[in-house]
Amino acid sequence: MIELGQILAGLVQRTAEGKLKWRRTVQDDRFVTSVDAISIVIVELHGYFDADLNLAPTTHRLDIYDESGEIVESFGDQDTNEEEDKQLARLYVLARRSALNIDSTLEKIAKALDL
Amino acid sequence: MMEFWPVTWGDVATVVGIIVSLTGLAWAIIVVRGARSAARETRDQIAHHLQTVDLQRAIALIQRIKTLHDSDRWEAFREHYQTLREMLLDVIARSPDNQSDVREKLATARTIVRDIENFVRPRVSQDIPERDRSRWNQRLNDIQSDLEELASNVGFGDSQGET
Repeated sequence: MIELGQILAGLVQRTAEGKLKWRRTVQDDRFVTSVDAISIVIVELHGYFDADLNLAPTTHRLDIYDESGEIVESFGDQDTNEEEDKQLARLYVLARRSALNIDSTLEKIAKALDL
Repeated sequence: MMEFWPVTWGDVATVVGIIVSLTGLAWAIIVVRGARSAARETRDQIAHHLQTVDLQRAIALIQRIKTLHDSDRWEAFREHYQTLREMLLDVIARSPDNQSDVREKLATARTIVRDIENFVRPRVSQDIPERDRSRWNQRLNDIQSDLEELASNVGFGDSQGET
């Protein structure tokens, strides 16, 4: 059986290599990509103050949609270990960079500054 | 020589018969293969045509949804979103397995459409801020561009590699 950690490692690697292109959705903290007809969405859940005014940490969630567009699996901080949490956070950063074309923008700035 | 034919004509006829049969069989195989190839080509052309038509319909529907957004007719577009998602699902279902890049683009479009739909639905009775309206239209523009690219792709719908 394939573990979530393996899936996350594959997604991180392919995104870092530029082989997986992420897209914006209508929410700033939510990005989507697809592998064949299966869509993967990474979401950042911002920290909030609980009743005792303790600030909950920012977490991430990975949603998987099947070929018919129905959500079939969702991994949040309740389902992940510490290492997987780190991978989710890393994936979110990479997905955001991919969707917003941040690398391309930085390259343009560097070129303009003759760096 | 005079004795040859009466004795062996049956054997010669058998050999000739076998040769004729094998030639006929080979010819039939060639004809059937040609017909299958032509049938496959026709099927691919029809699939290509249907997919292009579906994509053009989806593009037109996105345009319609954008117009409804612009005119604040929020209640009217809900069913259009569902129709659009179903159209995209149909095109995905018709796409051959070996066109994973096409299926990926369509699946991403389908997910973004669902996202917009979920985001807009609870807000239809409220004033929609210009920022949100602009963002939704921008995402729809992105999807429209992707679908136009797919529709104009000559190879879309071909099933190369299929047997």
